[in-house]
Amino acid sequence: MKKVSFLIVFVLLAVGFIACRKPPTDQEVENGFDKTAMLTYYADNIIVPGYTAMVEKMQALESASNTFLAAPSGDAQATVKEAYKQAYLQYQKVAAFQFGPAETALLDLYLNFSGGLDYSFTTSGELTGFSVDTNTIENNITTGNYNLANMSRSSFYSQGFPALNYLFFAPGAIEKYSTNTAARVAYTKAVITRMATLVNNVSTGWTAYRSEFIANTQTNVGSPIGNMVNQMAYQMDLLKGPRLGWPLGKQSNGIVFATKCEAYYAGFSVALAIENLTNLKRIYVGGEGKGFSAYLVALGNEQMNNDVLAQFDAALSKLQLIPDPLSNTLTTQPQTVDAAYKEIQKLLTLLKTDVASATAVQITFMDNDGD
Amino acid sequence: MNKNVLSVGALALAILSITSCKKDPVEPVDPTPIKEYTVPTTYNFANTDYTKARQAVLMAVELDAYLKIANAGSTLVALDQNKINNMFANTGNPFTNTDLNSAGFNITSLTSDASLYKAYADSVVMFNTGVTASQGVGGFVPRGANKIVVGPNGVEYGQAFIKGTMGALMFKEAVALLNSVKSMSDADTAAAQKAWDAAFGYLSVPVNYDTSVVYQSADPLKPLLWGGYLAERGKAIQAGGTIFQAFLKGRAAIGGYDATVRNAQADIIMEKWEQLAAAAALNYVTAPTASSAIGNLGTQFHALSEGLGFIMAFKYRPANSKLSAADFQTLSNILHKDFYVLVNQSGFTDLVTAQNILKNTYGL
Repeated sequence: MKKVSFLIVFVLLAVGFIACRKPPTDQEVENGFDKTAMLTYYADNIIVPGYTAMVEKMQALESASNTFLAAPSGDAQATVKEAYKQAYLQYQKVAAFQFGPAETALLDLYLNFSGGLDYSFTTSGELTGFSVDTNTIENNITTGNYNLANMSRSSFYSQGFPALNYLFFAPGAIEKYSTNTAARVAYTKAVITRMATLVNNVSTGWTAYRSEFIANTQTNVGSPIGNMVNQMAYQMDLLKGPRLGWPLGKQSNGIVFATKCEAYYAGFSVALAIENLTNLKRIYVGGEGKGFSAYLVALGNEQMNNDVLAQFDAALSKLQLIPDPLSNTLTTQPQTVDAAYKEIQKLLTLLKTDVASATAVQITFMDNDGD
Repeated sequence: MNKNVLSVGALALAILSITSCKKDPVEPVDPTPIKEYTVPTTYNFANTDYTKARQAVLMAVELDAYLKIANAGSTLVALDQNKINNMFANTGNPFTNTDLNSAGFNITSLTSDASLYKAYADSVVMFNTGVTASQGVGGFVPRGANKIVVGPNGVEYGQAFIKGTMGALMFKEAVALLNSVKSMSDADTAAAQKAWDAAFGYLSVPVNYDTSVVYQSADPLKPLLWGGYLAERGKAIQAGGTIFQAFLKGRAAIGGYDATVRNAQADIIMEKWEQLAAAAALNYVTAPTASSAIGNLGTQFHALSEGLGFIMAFKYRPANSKLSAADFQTLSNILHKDFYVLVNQSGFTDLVTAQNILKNTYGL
């Protein structure tokens, strides 16, 4: 009897011990680092305010656009351009949050389609990188027969920032509004309304999604931390590829693709790239000791954290040396662009390999299927 | 009171008799006493032989590799229909691995619905024309710096062939073999070991399989087909460790006349293998709905075509499968739809339906 009760106590102890041993990634607090606090900081100080600002910038853009569309002129165009730039810059601040509500809305695809990382400039034809599908846009205007919810490349390339880039700022943009005016105005408004609606949906969606976001401190596939690391790496991949490297000819033996620059007609591609990278650093650092930077240190990767921070600065300083419009600089100062490209490449490796590994996050956005 | 006891007793007897009526009719009449056995850590048993299963896998792998030649680069790489015919029939020494040419069998004879899977392979040749694919028109879809060859509905027939063959040949054969072992007498060790080994051969892992090893593509002993999927899509469900362990334990149990353990391992293998197919299928009906894949038909159609192949594997699932006939039909119907329609559905209704069936049925 004594033996039996001893056994029971032992079993109970063992059960208790096992139950207490959670895998490290499930812990809200890991090595003294509070992951819930980190996610709360991101949600409340960066993501939610970022989308709120995006809603406001879209309203300003819509208003400037309406003025222009009522009476197209050079002055009105300049006002639209400034509002467009502000909205586009703000978008760079939220682009890396393509999960949760933004993923449901497919925001990045409809607002600023990058063409994806698998589409080659040299082999996949016109609709690659930050292209504009001008044929489809003109066809949509002429026929009035289009569905912006379509999920095809030509659909993505004929709406969002790329479409506005063409409609407002391409050569002869103002004059084009004097032909088939009603249809052209209607299409422009449809594009802006759709952008504003999607942004509103995502902004509102975060109200409900916030609690889910901060409650899940795991780092597995589809977890908030997993998503954030993946999206930082994805945006870095876009910088290295469609934003900078591919227009420079990195995929095409040095053949430059000037028209594939982001916001090609508006001509502030570098400003967008700088804003994008600045914000990635902001996400990485976080604030008040709550961010991936502090998380890495807590996990015992102080040197790696220092390397990442230094590399962010190195890449940013090289990027800032590139004069806009990028489409000209690609041919006038290719070595300046190349210098930034090289630093971005190093930073990408750090984020995609070292940081991902240290945080036990699997990078999932590549088409890495074995066959 | 007495009456109550009596009726309870009667009820118990009735239940007992019902239970005894449900006995498995093939259970051995005269069980041989279990003798002591140890479970090894590698699949090295004295009389192990699964040459034929291994050769069937290698034939399918060579066919797959040949069909994939068409995917290289962005321009047309012609395929030879005769060579494909010969590989299916194993005539005219079609294989690079000459052992396969003299194997004395062909994969067609081992594949269920063989004509369908042959037709899939033939379709690669049919649509390997150099034409750019669009809805209703088969041809090329770019995928990275290369391409895939798809039919009018966007199906990459090469993937439908190889993933379908994994179901209709390897999985189906393994299930049949393991079920046959379950029906054997515990004394019939030679026949059971032969069948068990063949089933192991269809898994295609090295005898010292190790889930912690990342096998290099140049490694001649690297896991192939299902063996590769243990790591590619089965890590989260511990498919590799579970299935390999069960193969070791079951094979050892056969030698020890331990039919109970043997049969339990067979069930573990079949259940986990089917769940592995589900995990792969789930990945391939989910990946095309991610924003990083949307707008990239090459990535989306490639995944859906693999998904089609894995869904077809459920046609050959064990009788006690968790997947109902109705749910299988729903999955099959969805994956047989026009892929251009599936990737352009608002909210991806059909693919989400498929995801939910797979998640709920297989606990994924």
